[in-house]
Amino acid sequence: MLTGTLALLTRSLRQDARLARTHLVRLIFVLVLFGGLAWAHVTSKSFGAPGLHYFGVIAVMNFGLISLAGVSFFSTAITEEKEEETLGLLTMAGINPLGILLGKSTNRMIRSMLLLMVQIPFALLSVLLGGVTGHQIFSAYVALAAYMILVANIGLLASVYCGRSSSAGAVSLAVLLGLLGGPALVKLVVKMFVRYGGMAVGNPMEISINSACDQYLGLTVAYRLNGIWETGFKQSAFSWQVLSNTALGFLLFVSAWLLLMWRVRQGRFDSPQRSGSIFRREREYRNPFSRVWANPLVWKDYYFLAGGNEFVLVKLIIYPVICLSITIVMFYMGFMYRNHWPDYGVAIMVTALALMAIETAAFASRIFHDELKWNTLSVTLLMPRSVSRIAYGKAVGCLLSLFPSLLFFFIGTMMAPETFGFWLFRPESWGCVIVFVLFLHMTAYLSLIVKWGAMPLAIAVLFVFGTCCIYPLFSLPMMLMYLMTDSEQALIMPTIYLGAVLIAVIQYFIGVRLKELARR
Amino acid sequence: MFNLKKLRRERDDDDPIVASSDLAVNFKGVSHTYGAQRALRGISFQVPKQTIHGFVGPNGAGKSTALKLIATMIELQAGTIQVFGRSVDLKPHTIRPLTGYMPDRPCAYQEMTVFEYLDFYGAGYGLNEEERDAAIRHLLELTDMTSRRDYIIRGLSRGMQQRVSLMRVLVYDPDLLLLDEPAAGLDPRARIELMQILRELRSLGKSIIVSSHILTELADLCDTVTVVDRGHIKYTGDLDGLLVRDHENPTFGLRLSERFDDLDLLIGELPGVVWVERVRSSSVYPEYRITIDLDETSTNELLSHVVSLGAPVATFQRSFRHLHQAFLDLTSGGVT
Repeated sequence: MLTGTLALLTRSLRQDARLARTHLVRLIFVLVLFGGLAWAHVTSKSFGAPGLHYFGVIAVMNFGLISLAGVSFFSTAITEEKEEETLGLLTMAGINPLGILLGKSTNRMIRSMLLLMVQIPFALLSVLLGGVTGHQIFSAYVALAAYMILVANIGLLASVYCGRSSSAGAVSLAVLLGLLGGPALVKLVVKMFVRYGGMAVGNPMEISINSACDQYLGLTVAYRLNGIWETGFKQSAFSWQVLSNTALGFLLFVSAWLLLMWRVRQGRFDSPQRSGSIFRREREYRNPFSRVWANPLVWKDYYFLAGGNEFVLVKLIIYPVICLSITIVMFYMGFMYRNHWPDYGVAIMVTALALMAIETAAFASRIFHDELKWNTLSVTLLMPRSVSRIAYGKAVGCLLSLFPSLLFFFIGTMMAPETFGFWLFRPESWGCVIVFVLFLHMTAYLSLIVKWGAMPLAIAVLFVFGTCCIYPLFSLPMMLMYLMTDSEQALIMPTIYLGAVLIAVIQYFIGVRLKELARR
Repeated sequence: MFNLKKLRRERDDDDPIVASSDLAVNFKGVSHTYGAQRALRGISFQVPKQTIHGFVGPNGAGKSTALKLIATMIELQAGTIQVFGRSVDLKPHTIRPLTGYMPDRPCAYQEMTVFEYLDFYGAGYGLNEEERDAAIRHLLELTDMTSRRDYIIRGLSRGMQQRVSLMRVLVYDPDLLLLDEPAAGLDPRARIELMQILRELRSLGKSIIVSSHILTELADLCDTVTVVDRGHIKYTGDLDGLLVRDHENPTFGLRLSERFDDLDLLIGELPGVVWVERVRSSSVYPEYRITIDLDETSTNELLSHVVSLGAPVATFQRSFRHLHQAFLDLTSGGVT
């Protein structure tokens, strides 16, 4: 029985071990750690406790990567089988639900654990740099491993429950945000209640809620890692955080198992068919949205990727509500004064920018992915126009639908012209824009490489290479330029130039990859 | 019903190379590799204008690669390919409006309606609104899809989606159609209807290359055929040539109108008869298959001998090899 249950797990582990890619990823990870080590060495004279600093970066990077894996890598374990309509075939092949979970999810967890383990010899080098002990390093890895068990099983349960990878990722993200930021949010709400007279100061309820939140915070990995960095840390590595995260992870795994067993008995294997838009009813026919425009790619992506006029209209209704809600919350939190328009303008500007960022990131992950999904890339690229013209046409189609957020951003700038003018000429603003555009390009490129999770992967790639490779390499020339010019711009200009070069390089690779995929 | 000439933009008249070429496709010594795997090994074949050419071979034979090379989807590595006299590697962008490629998998934007889909590709190939309207109207008539003009593609059957793909290929009026296994996954009725549409397109002056791994599927449709196996051309020419092999002794089928005992023994003693066998022995009307050596006798002599024996001949005709057998003889087993 055990052999049958473990069949898929052993097969997938063997397959991974044989793939050169698996080892390449680990090698890249090690090289990244070396990058971090180089940075720690260079800055060791500027900072105290360089070992602690170096390992702190590694730990934060691991925490970020595990969280990202939770909303992408772990949460697609079962949904990818549902979307490929192969879950039913697996059960028909005699693999029981436990075997499926072990083969599809546990192997991913083991692979991720191996990525943690490969770091340990290099992480121990930070002891030599000074400021951190071996016990602190060991405790941090144990805490991260327990957190990974929790995150992997949150993703697994979401993957079993949801029909599609996107919804499983969204559920996992919501749960993770709730787990990590929930207590802080609850404490903030209680604080606001107390401030505006909804609750008396020192009320037993306020005390008990705050106490419960503090207790809970002690069980989170972020709190635990903060504790580990403290000088003279001597607690056991197997803390309450480790025990609770592991136990909760196990409970979630059992829940996923029971849920999958029930679904298999019910014969519910595949993802439900999805309509193109939530605003379009499932129907057999309809009138054309409009005649195709002079540039058909712009028309196609405006209507069929960005939602077209109806979506723009909906956003024109919803976005003011969002802007208003955020303004009200910020007003009650004391961030702005009554009748002081520039404050409201800044809130609207920031909200519009955030909405624009969310929209563009979603477009970047789907702009080419949908062409692959419908097998339309080859025939579209056969049109008598260049690949770059096709790709830019699609991008313009998506950008047209940003009209509502751009409109609200414009309204915000009108209300706060001075703030807008100040930030417009700050190099940091353009540095942020370049980095975000780079992220969009990376997402679009990765959507041509991986089936799911291009966006979290892009965040991870930029995060890892930004913190451990690019920043360490550039920190020295940046500092030198700063000392030579005595200008703060020297600190940001290399980022802008490098970002622009990287964007051009990624655009080139997107073109190459598109042609390659079209040939298949 | 459907007059493509009306829709033409006088391309052929404008281009002396295209107008003067007798061949739709001229493939010469073309080789192609994917990494270490050799998909095509110096193959050559020709497709005359305004004919339907079958491109047949087992899975992995190199059919799709050849079609993609003609469609300029992949770059030519070795050899030359001319489409209506133009070389594909020199000016791929001038070849694309001349060719219409339909892949072997359904490839349509599922959320579009049939009209939107055709309108989109028409615009993509530079047709103005008036031209697109005319082309779409005629194509819907040709494929009997007028009533489905505003249907969302996602809800159409596989056969209907295949028709939509064919319309997409035709919307900008290319002269050469490259159809990669167009009948794959279609039910028998949809296959017959598709073949009828292809015949109609040939009569309208289109040159068509249809790939398939089923030779019999193309037997009634194609004027010429190329059999390819593991990157090599095994046969190219008309179908009759495929069924009659010069080096083989001809075989004839003889059917009687009533019983005639021991005729097989009597025929076996005739000069030049190599082999005789009675087929369908249970049949009321006996049938025989006779193989002769043409060096020793002729078809007329054989028939006169049989008649002189007093056999009541109902039919006497040359039997061709079965298409399945011809295909099996030419191609090797297994999937590459």
